[in-house]
Amino acid sequence: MIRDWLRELGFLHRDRSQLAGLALLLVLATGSLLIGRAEIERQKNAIEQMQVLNERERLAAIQASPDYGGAAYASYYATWNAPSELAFAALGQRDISPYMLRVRALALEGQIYAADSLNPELGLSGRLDYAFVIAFLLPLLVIFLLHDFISSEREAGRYPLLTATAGATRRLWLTRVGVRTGALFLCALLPLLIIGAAEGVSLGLLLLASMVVAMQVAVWTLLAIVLARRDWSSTTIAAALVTVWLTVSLVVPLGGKLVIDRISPAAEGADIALTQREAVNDAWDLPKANTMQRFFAAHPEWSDTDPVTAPFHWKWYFAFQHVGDLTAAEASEAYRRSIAARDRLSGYVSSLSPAVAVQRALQRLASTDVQAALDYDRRIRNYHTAIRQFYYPFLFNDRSYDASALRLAPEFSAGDDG
Amino acid sequence: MSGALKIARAELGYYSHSKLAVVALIALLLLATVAAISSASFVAGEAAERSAHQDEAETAFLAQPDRHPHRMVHYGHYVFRTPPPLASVDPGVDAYTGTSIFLEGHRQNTATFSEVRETSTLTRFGSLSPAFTLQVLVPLVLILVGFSAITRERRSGTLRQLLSHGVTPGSVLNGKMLALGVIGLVSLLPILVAATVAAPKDSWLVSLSLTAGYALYLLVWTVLIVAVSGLARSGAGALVALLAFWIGAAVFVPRVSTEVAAAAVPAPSQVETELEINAALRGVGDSHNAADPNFSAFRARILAQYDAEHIEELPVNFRGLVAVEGEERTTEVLNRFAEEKMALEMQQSAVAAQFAALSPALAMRRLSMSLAGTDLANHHRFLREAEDHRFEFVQALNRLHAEQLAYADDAARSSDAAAEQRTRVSADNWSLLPEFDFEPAPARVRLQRALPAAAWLGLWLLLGVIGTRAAARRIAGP
Repeated sequence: MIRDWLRELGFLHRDRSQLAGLALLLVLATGSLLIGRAEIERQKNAIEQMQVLNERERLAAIQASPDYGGAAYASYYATWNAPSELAFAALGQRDISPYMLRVRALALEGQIYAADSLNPELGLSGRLDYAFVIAFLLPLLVIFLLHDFISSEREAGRYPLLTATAGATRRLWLTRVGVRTGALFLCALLPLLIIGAAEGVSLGLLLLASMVVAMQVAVWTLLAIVLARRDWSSTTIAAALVTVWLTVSLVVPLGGKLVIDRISPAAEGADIALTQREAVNDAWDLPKANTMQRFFAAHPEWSDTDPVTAPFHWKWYFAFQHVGDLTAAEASEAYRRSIAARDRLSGYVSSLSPAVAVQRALQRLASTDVQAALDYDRRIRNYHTAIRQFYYPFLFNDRSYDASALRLAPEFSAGDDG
Repeated sequence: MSGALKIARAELGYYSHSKLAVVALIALLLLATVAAISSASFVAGEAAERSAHQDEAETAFLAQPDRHPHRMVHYGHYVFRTPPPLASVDPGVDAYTGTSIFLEGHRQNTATFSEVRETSTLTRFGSLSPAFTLQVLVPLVLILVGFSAITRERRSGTLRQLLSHGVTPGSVLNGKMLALGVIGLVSLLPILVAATVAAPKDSWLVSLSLTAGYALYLLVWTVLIVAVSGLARSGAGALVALLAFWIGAAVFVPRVSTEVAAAAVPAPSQVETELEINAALRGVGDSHNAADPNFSAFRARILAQYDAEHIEELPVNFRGLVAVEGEERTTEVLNRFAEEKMALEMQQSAVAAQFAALSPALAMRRLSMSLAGTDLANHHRFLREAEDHRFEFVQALNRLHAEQLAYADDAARSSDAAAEQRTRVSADNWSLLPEFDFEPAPARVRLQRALPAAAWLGLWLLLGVIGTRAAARRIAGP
């Protein structure tokens, strides 16, 4: 038994092209992880620097403000989506959805969609992260190593000899597949385990990620075995396997997107923006009591305060900002619901495409998927509410301005808060 | 040449006998048709939707009641980027860029609502457009059909027979390329149709060049495949080499180009830029406040110009003049940062473009996007036009503010309701809003932009031709 394994290892060791394939995988996995780590490091630094700069700017703004309304108008508050411990392995949505955003107490719907930091041309090509290597390139190396594990012997004329001498043919093939697949699995996984451990990723998370890699290796190994057992030439088997790869890795996801576009189109983002703006601007011409009534319906705790009589008062200004958000709330929720629905449908596509399944699984583990982006969106909304409510007592109670009262800002919850 | 024709005919006969080639071709045509139809309907739908939104936004602006002009500066306006007609062939970066921008005074907002944020993971695989099928899928089919063109003949001994009958190695290779080229031409059909449909709305020259570009691209692959088949020792060797090259060119190199470009030209995040802009704007002054010390030199100049002692004596509303001046200064700063950002993106793009040396697919993608008008440069064109539009209507409103309002009323409007009423100008003025009609760059500009990529494809063709020469020597050799 052990002799069989050693013999196969010896074969593998002598076969230069197979070794080159394994080395390539090792390099790609390591490289992609290092790229991911550098990117996440860059994002962490950017977040830290932004917090410092923003705090400085906010303090300067409250110093320069003549009143609480002016301070609320001029102060930005920092929010950020801190990368999870595994984010370096699957960058996911972190390049296309923003990972930091500054908001102020004005209508949120006018602020929360602002994000355009990505060079669209680089977005089009996508990032070279570990999830991509496992989802797309790993299957190709499985195909490369396994497609001819039977047919090469037949083509070399050794097939009759092998089946005669090795006794149990089945065991010979199993050993061969076992050795090649095992080597491949190790080359794909070791870099993740080593870099993951160095980064202090928790063991449970690493195990789950390893299982995703193992599943991907298993799926493609089985597929390769099924086709390699055929009585075809090596080239036909390889061509067939690559066609399968192309179909499930590229054609299925793209076709799936077409179907999703048909059955569950994204809600109109532009509608939210237009609705919110109309509501905010109409308020200037509406009787102030109307606006205040709508505001008090949402915030009855301030309904006893003095009516607004002057052409301008900050509390009215911030009230109609909030009324703008309330008016757009339905469209805004529909937009987020449609994104979540489309994401659920994409989940069904992953049952037909290992590439999609691997990317989704790793991005879920790394909290870099659509769900994570929507979570961040929700945290921004909660924080914005906290900021508004932080200012309301100052605005509605007509207190005289004291900048030091604003020094301590409400705290932003950067982590998961359920 | 007749030798080559005979070889080509025989090869096409072989294709029709071999199931793989027929199945592959049918599957490909089916896919390409689905891609062309769905892409065309998607682009048409998007174009209709966005121009409807554009009309809606314009109507809303015109329907605003009598108001203080500065209110309209903050009411602002939305502009939408309609996709160019040839986006049905190649949507390019469309899914990765925001589709609308809110234009208002004092600020340059970013483009919001990009498709990629709405379609989650799947959009990252690209889109099933005619461009994608031709750039990525067709070459693979050509490989699967053509990798054994020469190796097959060599293994079965028919190659030697052909040569002994006086057929030159050159005509064997030409015949094989001709046959494979027929497959390429057939798969060019959907793009030919899509480009022809789009041409009347765009430019015939560009549509034709786009189709010709794809023809050149498929020619490159045809020549390379036959050359490798002629040089390889075995069919398996040819297949592995070609597949490895395809994976590298179509899947791997584009991602490497991203990483190298991002590392070579680091770009600050939007928030970092925003903070920098704020710091730079601090020296400009608050244009809502006519008493801002940043405007005292300006005030002195205006007073001198009108030979007045106090701003109250001016025949124009000084607060409006400050609004005009402030907007001009702000815009200057904002434009500096915007141009810096765009220059940075173009630098990244230029670094990524060098990878066309490793991947003909990357060269083709660039050629295709430039011609279709869906590349980065076109997005920048949209951003610049939107900014010009913003500046134009904001300054028109600010001039109303300066010319039609009395300074005393304007200064008292926050506390005096009657003065506030007098600072409202007639709604007829809102027709000052210019129409926004975004179109891609003119044909000549796009053709020029596509030239470097076309040159890369030319180099790839040259490489292929050199390869076939070597293959011919190998076939003729012992």
